[in-house]
Amino acid sequence: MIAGQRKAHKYIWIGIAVVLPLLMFLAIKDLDFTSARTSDASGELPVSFSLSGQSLKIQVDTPLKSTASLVYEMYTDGSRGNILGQLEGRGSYEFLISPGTKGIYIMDAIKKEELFKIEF
Amino acid sequence: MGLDYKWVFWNTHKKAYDRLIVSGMVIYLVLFFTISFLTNPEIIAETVIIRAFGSLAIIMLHIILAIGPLTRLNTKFLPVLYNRRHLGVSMFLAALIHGIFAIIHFHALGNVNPIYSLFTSNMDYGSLTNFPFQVLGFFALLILFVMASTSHDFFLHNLSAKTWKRLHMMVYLAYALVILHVFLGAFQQETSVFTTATLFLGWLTLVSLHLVAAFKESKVDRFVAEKNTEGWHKVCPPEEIEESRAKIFTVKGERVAIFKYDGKLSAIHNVCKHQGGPLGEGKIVDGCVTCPWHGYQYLPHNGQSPPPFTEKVKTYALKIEKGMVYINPKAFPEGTAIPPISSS
Repeated sequence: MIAGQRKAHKYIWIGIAVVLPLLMFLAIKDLDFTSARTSDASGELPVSFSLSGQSLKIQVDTPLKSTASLVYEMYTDGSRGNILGQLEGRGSYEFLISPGTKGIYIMDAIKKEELFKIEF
Repeated sequence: MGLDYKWVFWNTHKKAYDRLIVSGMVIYLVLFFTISFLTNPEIIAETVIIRAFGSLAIIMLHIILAIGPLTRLNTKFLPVLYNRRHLGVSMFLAALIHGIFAIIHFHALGNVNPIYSLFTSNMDYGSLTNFPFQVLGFFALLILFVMASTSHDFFLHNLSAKTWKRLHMMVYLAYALVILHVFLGAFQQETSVFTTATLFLGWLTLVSLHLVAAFKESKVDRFVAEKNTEGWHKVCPPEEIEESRAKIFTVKGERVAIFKYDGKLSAIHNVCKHQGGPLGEGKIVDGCVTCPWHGYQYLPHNGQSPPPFTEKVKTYALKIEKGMVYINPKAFPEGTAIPPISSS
């Protein structure tokens, strides 16, 4: 390497030594390392909903951490019923629910974990 | 060093290292798949592929980034450096498989273009922890693609060594993007002390190696030689230089290689025109200075590659005064013939 390249390498790695750990720290400072579950599950709901007759509107305020979130009906006995659809990101979603539906489950389809349970 | 370009320049050593690279990758993938399916039988194949190839690419990237400073700190690592290019292309292929599967799995099943979906499915660009991390991985992959596709000697020759080196220094940006891609992506979804600490230790190792090597080099660059009345720099007694080898000397922050051969001494710029290899760490083979990295050759008295090759490096004048070798700090233009001086 010529002298200029040696200097450039040095300054780049000083930059990586200073900036990267700061960003790494900021990225993980709020994570809960005691639980293996998604951070969505431990915090408050990132979704809000409104029910009008058989029409269920779900508003996703912040992106869900799970990559494939499926919405299921909750039967009166609390069991999981029909699949209503998928939440793919921030936005407004509308689903038609069966009469007598008690609430919904939002599931992580990949990990097969329950993310949220919402009762009407 | 060859006159024509080949798709892949293989020799016995390169084949042995390539076998090592492929076996290492296969063993890692088999272990990853086995452990993943044993510990989590419900996991789907796409998820394991994305994770296996992603983690493999990160491990390989760390190894690649450690090779440069390791060779500057210990020349025993030089053989690994000669084979770094193939390791880099293999790492890109692993990252590409990770990227393709991730885009298909998460973005290809909708009604918009998968690349458009990658940039727009999460628009929280103002947030740190909710930042669309896949975008970071996409740009890192783009940089790795440019590097892998220009890694061939054809591009090195046609882009010039300086431009090529600048282009390939973008790997550091790719590394930073990859780290943030993982910290803002995988680590947000599955918090694990083990994986977080492993990546942090990887960063710490790389930073330590690069900074130790950089400060060691800076110390050499700052060396100020004793001068005679004409301003020539005092180097060493000629006996100190081994036959067919060189002494690397610092002149105005640049490295010069002073070679001893057939009872003569000649000085040329230490940096090879091919990939910036340290010529002074090579030796004289068949009357030519031979770069230790890829075998590029130069005639010691004029810094020119023997015909039909056209590479040229700067030359320097030497003289002996009171049993000491002195060098004129003013370099001659590349390829200028300087009569060698007697080493006795």
